[in-house]
Amino acid sequence: MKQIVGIAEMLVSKQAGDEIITYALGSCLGITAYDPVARVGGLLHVMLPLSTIDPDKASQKPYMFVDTGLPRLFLESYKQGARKSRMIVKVAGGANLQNSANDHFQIGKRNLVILRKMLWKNGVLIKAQDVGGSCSRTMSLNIASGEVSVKTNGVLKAL
Amino acid sequence: MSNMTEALTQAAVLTFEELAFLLPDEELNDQQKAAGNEARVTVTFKGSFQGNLVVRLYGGILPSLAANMLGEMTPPDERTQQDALGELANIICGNALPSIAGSREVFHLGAPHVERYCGSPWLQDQGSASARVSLGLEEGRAEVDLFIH
Amino acid sequence: MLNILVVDDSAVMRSMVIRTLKMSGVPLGSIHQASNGREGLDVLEGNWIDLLLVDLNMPVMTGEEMIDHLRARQDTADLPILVISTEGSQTRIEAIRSKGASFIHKPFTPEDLGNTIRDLTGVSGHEQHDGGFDPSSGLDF
Repeated sequence: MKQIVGIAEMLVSKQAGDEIITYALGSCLGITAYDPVARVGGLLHVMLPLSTIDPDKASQKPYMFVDTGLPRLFLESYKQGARKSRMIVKVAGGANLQNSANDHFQIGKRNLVILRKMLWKNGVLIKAQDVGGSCSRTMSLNIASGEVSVKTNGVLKAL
Repeated sequence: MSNMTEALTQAAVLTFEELAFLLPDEELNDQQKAAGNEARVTVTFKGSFQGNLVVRLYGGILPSLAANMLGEMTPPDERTQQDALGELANIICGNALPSIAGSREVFHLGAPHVERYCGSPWLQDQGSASARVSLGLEEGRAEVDLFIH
Repeated sequence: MLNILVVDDSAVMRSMVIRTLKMSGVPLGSIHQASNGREGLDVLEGNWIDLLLVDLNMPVMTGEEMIDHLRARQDTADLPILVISTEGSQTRIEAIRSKGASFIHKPFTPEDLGNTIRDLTGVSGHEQHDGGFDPSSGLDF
């Protein structure tokens, strides 16, 4: 069954028939985590790097921010049987939609910095990524196979 | 922004982001502007031109910078923090120079010299900086100066 | 199992490289460290090393001088070497590559370094820290 993850939302599943999908990733990040042994996986669609800019918002919508969303993606996956040592993390998005090449302070890039920091501190490397540029992306995760695909400008590719 | 300042900004932002997982702010807030002296590091270089790069940290950000680099939750000891700052300055310098001088030029970088702020004012750097970048970092800031002699 | 020597004058950088090695899924034997080229050569005298990760700008003996010593010796002439350096001069990078060493630029992302090491060693697996990585030092999820 196709399950749609909206902006600032997350879904974790172990239903073999599920295909989790999220649309319109611009500077936002789509992050998938998948355990190929337990066949548990989730997809998180975050907008901003740090919850410290708006703690009230973060308590209502923790999936809006990388720093509050990412731990929940892992913890919910563990609840459904995943193990950290087997988790495969993939990421898409982080685009610079303003298209100003000299802007060193782009939000998409900053989302990626905080994602990398949290994974680095937790001993996890990103397995594959399709990030940056100035395009909008759609990302999906197949729970039965663990396959992640990214669609950009109508072109679908495996990640 | 001059080409030299642009090159220095690019090198500093890239290094703070990729090496230390920090988010540099272009505009400083009041807290960052008021942050007190913390540590300073100098890297000298020689090549088709010579000079030195100085990074000054303000506001007590070195412990978390070093912890980030190491992937630790808690800050390392003082010596390790200074080592982290030295490596950071080395990398900013090594990345800025080819952008300024061209990618064929060869530069030799000296070992970084780190000083902790201990209450007395830092000695003034000689001459005025050829390029200067100020970046907000968490509750503090970093100033990166490039001196070409 | 690969025995690896990491040579860099920054202890923090050596720790970052070793942490990435442990996260990358490369099967690790012994990991040795040295803070300059001279110390690195001393380690090589008494230990079998499968892969050398080395910085360029170091006191006492630079990485480039260390590589020259190694390439001149029969037993290390073909030792896989990855230079991890802030060096941005194409002239110097080409000189390093002509000596049969690979190159990765500082700052690197852990993913870039992990992928480069996997390419060099021919290891493609992705069992993340089953190679002895202790996540207890930084566990928050």
